[in-house]
Formats: sequence, structure tokens, C-alpha cells
Amino acid sequence: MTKKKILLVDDSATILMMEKMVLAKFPVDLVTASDGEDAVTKAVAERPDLILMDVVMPKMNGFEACRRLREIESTRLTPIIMVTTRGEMENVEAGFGSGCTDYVTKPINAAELLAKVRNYLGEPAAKR
Amino acid sequence: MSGDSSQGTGYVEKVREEMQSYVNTILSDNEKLRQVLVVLQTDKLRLTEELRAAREQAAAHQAQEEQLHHRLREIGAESESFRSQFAELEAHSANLANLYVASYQLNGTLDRQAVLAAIQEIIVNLIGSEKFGVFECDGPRGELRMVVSLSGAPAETVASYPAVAAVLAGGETWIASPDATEPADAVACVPLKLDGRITGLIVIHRLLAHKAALDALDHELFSLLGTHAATALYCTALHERAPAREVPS
Repeated sequence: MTKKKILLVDDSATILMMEKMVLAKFPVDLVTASDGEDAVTKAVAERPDLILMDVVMPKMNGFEACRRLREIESTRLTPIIMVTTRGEMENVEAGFGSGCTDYVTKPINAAELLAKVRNYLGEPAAKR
Repeated sequence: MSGDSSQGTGYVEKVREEMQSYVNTILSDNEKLRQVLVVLQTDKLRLTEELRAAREQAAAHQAQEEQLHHRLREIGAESESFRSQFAELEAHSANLANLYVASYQLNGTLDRQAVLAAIQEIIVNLIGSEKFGVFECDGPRGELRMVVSLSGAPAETVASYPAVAAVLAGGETWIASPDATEPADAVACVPLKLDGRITGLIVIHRLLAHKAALDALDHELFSLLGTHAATALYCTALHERAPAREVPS
């Protein structure tokens, strides 16, 4: 059975590491990108099943990356969860307008993140 | 006369025969009825026995059903307990992950700017503050010097906070009371300590608006920052003073 894949996009090494540790219990492959441009490139190449996308990033922000991904056939339907802070939450409407599927807030609440990931990927099989 | 007499005898004989026949019929019917009665009594005994057995079986089934209901309730309670334990473990695991990430980021470099960036990332991304300052104690009198800030107040202002004075005097982390009626200058003030000596301070002025209050994990992160950030900054200073030495691989 092919393992599912999650693309983690954030310019913060702390957040990426945190997300990796929280998602370690899922039998999934984790791919990372550190800005919006990198995210679009990796999403097209890696075809992830889910994307966790920061909003404020260098080169291309999360909303713009989300818009680009929605214009590409292979990533048009990939669920994208935006990872936002409160200030960015005021732009949640803009986020949904750009095509994101859902959002979580920083600081990341592990239980909330796991619940959303389970919702989009299904309950993971026990990791041996 | 003799003719009448023989006629009378014949009649009596006939009546006797009919009577005998009638009695025989009644006796025969009586025998049949007795046999039917025996069968019915046997049936009754059998049915009574079957009814008793059926009642016993029903009682046993009812007891078994009650046992199963009881076991079901027990399994439900066990399941709820496991679910609750699993959620606790998941939360505990997430907390440990937070602490591990914070520790790893602080101690993974000897570059001062990288350590300061790590402190800032921990405060922003793991604690969730949008307004804070990090200060080091400088000079013989230990004046505060700002080294990292996100919309934070300058050192001179921070030095006048009663909370900061209390932390500098007592060396313990100060957290604003959640019941405070007056808005405080800071939400928390964390001393950076090395061998019991205060080498700096983290002053958190405000949390992200959607974060209602500091929780147990934040207190753990403060405790970790208090020692690990101070040690990490001290190590970078040592490293800067000894530039010729190579870090052992």
C-alpha cells in the first residue's frame, strides 16, 4: 500500500520540527518546503495528499502559493491547511478565497492539528 | 296364562341383555376414558416438566443477558478510560515534543544570532506572543540591554516595571495573575539564569489575541528557556572569545 504524503511548508525551522514530531505517529512521508515558491515546486513534483502551509513566508506567501496550486491541475484538489497566527486569521476569508481547505492557528495545538490531519487523511494504521 | 308367562320371561331376558350390553358399553367407554386420562396426566406431567425447564432456561438467559449488559457497561467504561488515557498521552507527547524542539533549537548552534533567533521563534511560535523583549544584564550594575524584541518596550521602560524588579530581586519567574483587574505591563517575566545568577530576562508583554492564557506547557517552556537560553547565550559568548578553537566534530 502506498504511504500517504504530507508537504509541510514554513520558513520557521521550529515550526517544521514541531510539525514533524507531532505527525511522527502517522505512517506518512513528510516533505518540507521553506517558502511559497518551493512549496509550489515540491507540491507538483511530490504530489502530496495534504499540505500544511504557513502564511507569512519569504519569496511567496501562503495565500499566493495556495492560489497557484489551485491553478495547477495535479494540485487543484489537494487539501491545504493554512497555519496562521491571529493577525493572519483576520485574513482567513482571504485564505479561503485563495482556495485553502482549512486552517489551524499558531502556536500549534497538537490535538487540533492531529484531528484535522486525521479528518483529511483518515485514521492512521498503528505504526510498528 | 303360560303364553303370557313365556312372553314376560322373554321380555325380561331381552331387557337384561340390553342392560348388560349397555353396561358393557359404559364399561368400555369408561376404560377408554381412563386411558385418555392416563395419557392426559402423562402429558400434563411432561408439559409441567417442560414448562419448568423453559422457565429455568429463561431465568438463565435473563441472568446471562444481565451479565452481558454489565460486561458491556464495563467495556464501555474501559474504552472511555483508554480514550481518555490516549488523549492524555497524546497531549503529553505533544508537550514533550514542544520542549524537545525548544531545547534542540537553543542548543543546536554556537552562533549568537542563531540562538537569539531560536529564542524569538520559541516565544512567537511555541508560546504564542506577539509583543515581547529579551534582555541581557550588562555591566557591573547589571543594566538591562535589549537583544531581541518584537514590538517590546525598551530596556529603560522595562526596568521600571515592578514585576521586573521583583524578578531581578527574587530570581523567580513572574506570571501575571489571571484575576488581575488592572492591565499589567507584562504577562510574564522570565529570568535567564546561569548557576543561580541572573544573566538576562524575557519580558512577555502580550500573547496572541486568540490565546486566552498561559498554560502548563508555557510554564515548562519558561523553565526551559530560563536555563537553556542562558546557557546557550553563554556558550556563544565563550565561543566568540575563543575563535581559533574548532568545535569538536
